[in-house]
Amino acid sequence: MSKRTTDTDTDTETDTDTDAPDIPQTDDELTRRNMAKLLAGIGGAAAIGSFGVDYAAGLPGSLDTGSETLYVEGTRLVDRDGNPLTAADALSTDEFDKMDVFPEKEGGGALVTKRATTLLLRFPEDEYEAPTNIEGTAKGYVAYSKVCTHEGCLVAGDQGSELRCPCHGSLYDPTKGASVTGGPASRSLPQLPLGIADDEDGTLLLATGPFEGPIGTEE
Amino acid sequence: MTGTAPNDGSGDDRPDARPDGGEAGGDLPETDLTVRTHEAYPRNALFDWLDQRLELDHTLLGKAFPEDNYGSFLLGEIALFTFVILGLTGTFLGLLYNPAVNSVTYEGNALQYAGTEVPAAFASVLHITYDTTFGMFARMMHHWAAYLFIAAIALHMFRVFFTGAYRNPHEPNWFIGSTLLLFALVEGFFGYALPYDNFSKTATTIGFQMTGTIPVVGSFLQSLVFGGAFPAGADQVIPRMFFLHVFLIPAALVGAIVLHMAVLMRQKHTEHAPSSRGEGRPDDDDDSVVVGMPLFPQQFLVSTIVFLLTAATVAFLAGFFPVQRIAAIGPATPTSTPSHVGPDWFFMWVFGSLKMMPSWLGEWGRFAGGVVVPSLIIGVMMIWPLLDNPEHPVHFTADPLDRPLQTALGVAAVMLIIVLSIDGMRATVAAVLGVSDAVLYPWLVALTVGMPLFDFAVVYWLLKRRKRRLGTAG
Repeated sequence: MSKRTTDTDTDTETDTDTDAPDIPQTDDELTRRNMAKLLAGIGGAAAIGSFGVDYAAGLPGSLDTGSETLYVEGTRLVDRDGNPLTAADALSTDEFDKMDVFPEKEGGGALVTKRATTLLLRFPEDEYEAPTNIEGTAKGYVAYSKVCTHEGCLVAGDQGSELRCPCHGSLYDPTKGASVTGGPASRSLPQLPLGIADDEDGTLLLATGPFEGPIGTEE
Repeated sequence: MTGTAPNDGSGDDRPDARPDGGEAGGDLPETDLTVRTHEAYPRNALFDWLDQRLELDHTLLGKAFPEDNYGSFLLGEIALFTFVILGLTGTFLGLLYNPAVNSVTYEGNALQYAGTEVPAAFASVLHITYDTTFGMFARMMHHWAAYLFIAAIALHMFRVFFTGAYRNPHEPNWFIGSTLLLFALVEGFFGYALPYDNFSKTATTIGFQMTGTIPVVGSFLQSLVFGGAFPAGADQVIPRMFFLHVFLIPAALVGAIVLHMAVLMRQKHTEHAPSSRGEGRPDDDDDSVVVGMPLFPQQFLVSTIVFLLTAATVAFLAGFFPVQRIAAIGPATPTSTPSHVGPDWFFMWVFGSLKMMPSWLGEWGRFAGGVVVPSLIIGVMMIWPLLDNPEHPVHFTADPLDRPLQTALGVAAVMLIIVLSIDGMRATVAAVLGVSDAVLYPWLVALTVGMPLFDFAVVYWLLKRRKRRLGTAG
């Protein structure tokens, strides 16, 4: 315990050998202590805040990937190499058949990105049930986003005629609008409405609009 | 080890007073061990020169190390030595690795990829693995040393937990140690991303998504930790992971290890009395002194053997059991996820927790499974000494059989991690049992909830009964 004993502005201190535990402290001392706390607080806040520089400066890779346009009405479906797909021979209805397709870029070629990866499947037309958008199927073809709505992995199809996510085992039924039939996912895969081109040969597969819901874990 | 020294003063045979123990204990029975030690290992000039200046003999080389009939006190040393191996092999790998994701043409021995376009990071790991002398061995040693690092930390914590060595006054080292485990897990996550193969892409994607499920601060944390979206911004994320993996987290690990050992030096170890006390030694309940064998030469020899055995084990596993074979997995692709993807074993329980959340929980299920459950488990572990804290300092280990509540809780916690890990391997379990996922799911839910509770009840009941039989029930 010590207390200020002079009124000069030096920090002269003397021992006051009393054992009274509660010597009143001068306001000066309290102020100084509070000042130290304030400075420590500012320093700490600055240290923590400096971590936020990234955040304030915006993200280089951009956390928001939802602005990229994938499909619009009339976008042709192409395979990985950019070849347009025809309704006649892309897939057969005989077995559980599926392939990865992509939107065609302006001027040709496939847009091969994760968000653009689309699963094209084909079933006999009478197998589709609600909540499938039957209007969005064409000659038994149906297309869904391949990005799992649970944690953003890419689904595959090794579980009977269901789509299964290899990461956490979410199951989707492609004949029921890719609604969740098992596992932790809570939203169905968004469907891509399909149509057949109205041009001279009338067989090319194309989208009649964008995906009907958010892709993957996007809001 | 036949040589056992009364405490740490190989120089002057004085018992080492505990910092909190008040008076140094009474006269310690004189043994001639120190004398014999000096005869067996005559000093040389260099040693004397150093000793006169640094007082090696009194302060450092005399440090008492625990004597323990079971060797379980060496688990922490194994963790330390695997960290040394990680540093050495990691330096080798870090000099050759290229943290970039732009496509390059791989020209090397791995025929499958020769002449093909792969991400630069993947190509550099292929080069390390297939085109660099001892490269594959170094990579496998690094991976196996990481496995053993985390396994040794976990087993070390089991030892400390079940023998009650975390109790007053040893809580600080429990806090530091569990922080170390956290750092080690984080380090494992960042390191897994680096080869940029299709497994690491998947794991990093899931980590990125999990971080985003945290309310309010999720996207801030995503940008802080990842520095960009993954996998869309992988060109930003991978260099950041590299920096975090080879500098920031290792620096934190080194700091935590130094602190851990400084606290240990200051506090002395908890003694296993049945191992360290006995004939000619202080009484079993005399906690004013600490008894152990000196660092030099006894513990030095033991530790050397432990180090060599650890290095040999890591080298053996690395040589014969390749892990994370990136050539078989393939480079990160944007359009597919490998069918049998799974994390390293030490994240399998988090993976399981994510998988088990029912669909109807929606977004909250993702947050609960990926963040809340793991945080609760790790959080309870970290603050445990605050929940079970005797008022008076305890310097001896406890017999786990004498602590029904704590031992039963510990067994239940271990069982919870095991069943969650089994949940993580659900697809494999379903394939092995020949049943479908849907059939298996309710059984796994029952197992996950039931097994820890069942184990707790059984262990608690058995140990209580034992206590009653021995007539020590309170």
